[in-house]
Amino acid sequence: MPLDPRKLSSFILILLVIGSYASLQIGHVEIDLFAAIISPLYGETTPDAIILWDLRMPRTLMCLIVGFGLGMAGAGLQGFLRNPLAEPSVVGISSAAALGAVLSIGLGFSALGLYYTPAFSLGFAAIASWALIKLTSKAASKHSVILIGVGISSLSGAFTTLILSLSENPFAINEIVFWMLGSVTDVSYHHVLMSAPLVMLGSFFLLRAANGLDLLTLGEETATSIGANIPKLRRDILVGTALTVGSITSVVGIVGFVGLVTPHIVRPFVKHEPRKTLIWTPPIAALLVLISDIAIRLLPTASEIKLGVLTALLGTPFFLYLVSKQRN
Amino acid sequence: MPHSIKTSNLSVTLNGAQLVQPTTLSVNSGEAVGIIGLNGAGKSTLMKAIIGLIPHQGFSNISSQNSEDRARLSAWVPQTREIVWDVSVETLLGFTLRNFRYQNESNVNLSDKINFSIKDALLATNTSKLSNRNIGSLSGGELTSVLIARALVQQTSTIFLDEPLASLDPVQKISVLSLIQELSKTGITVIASLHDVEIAQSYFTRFLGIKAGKVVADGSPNRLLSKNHFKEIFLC
Repeated sequence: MPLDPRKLSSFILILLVIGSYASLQIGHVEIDLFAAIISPLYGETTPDAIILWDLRMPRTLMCLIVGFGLGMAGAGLQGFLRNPLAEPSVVGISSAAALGAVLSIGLGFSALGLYYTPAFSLGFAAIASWALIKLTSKAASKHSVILIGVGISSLSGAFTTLILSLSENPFAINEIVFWMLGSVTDVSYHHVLMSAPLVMLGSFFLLRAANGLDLLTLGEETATSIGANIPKLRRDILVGTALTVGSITSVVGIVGFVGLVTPHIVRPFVKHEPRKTLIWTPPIAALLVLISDIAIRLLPTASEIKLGVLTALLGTPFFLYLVSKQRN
Repeated sequence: MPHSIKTSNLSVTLNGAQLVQPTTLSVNSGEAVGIIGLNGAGKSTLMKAIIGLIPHQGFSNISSQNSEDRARLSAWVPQTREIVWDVSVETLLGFTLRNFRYQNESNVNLSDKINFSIKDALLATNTSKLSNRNIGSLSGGELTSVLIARALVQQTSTIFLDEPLASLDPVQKISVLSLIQELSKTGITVIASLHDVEIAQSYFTRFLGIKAGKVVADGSPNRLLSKNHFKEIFLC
């Protein structure tokens, strides 16, 4: 059921506005949203305004950034690896980025400056992406991509656990666990400002690969024979994935399966074209993360469950379903 | 008649092993050339070297061009016919048109041009009725024909096919072979690596026999399938 792009984009925009409104409005405390929004104009500092501007707004923005970036990275990886199971967390890029963040905390770098943790995350995400693309370029079967990803993921996980078990500082242990679970609860504008430009830059690289992904549908050989520049395509995907996943993970930890599920939702609407999937996945993924985060606040749990836990709970069955479908 | 393919001392060496011995070759336009030989004899490697898909030594009039001109001269139909995304036949052909043939054209009438070229290519390969089908629903023979149509939208003078008959049933083989023959009759040069030499012989104008990376026989299919030549190509 392919849709007219103009209708589709207005529809998604409306949904995003409604989602953002709900995300700002819904929470443990009921606020007068309109009054809170305009209160800075009068120089007032009401409790509602503090809740809106200092707590909910950065969280809402962060959800949008997280969804957008992870969706883009997932669609890009699936397109490039020509594998519907590929996704930053499944292929180990997210856990490598988390390892980078944990390492910067464990080694004490995070105390030296704000940018050490993101830098470590980006670096590790880049190494994992590089290793994945390098190893899979020689691999024959579709499932080997996932197996290599499992390897990268396990290795990063093992190092993270090692740091966890060697750490004597309970504060550090807490931090490390935070990165493994993924959460948008305590984000501030500082986090938003740190990740947004990097996610945008990464998206630029990924979008540059869009046409190449269409040609790559025909296979690497044929794409090359039509003039596709595969090494450049590979670089764009690698750099784009590392920037988006690295910067997002350094701020909110591992949020898995958003990049896996969303392209599958999008594909039937865009006739399965990889370029269009790449373009339409990010806003839908942003919407999904927004909804997940609202759900977290509405769930009657004693303490809020983490975003990464919820997405994993919802995403893993879907992943297993995809795997079982592939076998047939 | 103009040469559509010309190589001189074209060779391929990988990790010290010479996969294709220096080969000097010329193919006239409109010829249908079948490359025959054992598995691993270098049939595909030779074709890939000619069109510049793999690193090689020596000269080929196609691989010596820049990548855009290569794509204007020759089109490639790969052996691996796995299309992961379940796009429609039309969409698949559109990818090549949008990103290659019409990539520098303005949007005015672009979709008309694309649709026209797609219709043309599907008509030429007798696959018009498949245009709205999804790739995943096609049979092996239909998919091969669609990939040949995909090559046709490049409007090249030469088409290379890597094992076009692999994993097809006999009926599908005949239909793909007839298609190859029809194309060569319209003046397109066709080069294909083949295993089914007997079934294919009457559809090709020329066979090249390759053994251990070396062209050991070159001539009419009838002649190459004679006892002496056959032994030379297929026996160690």
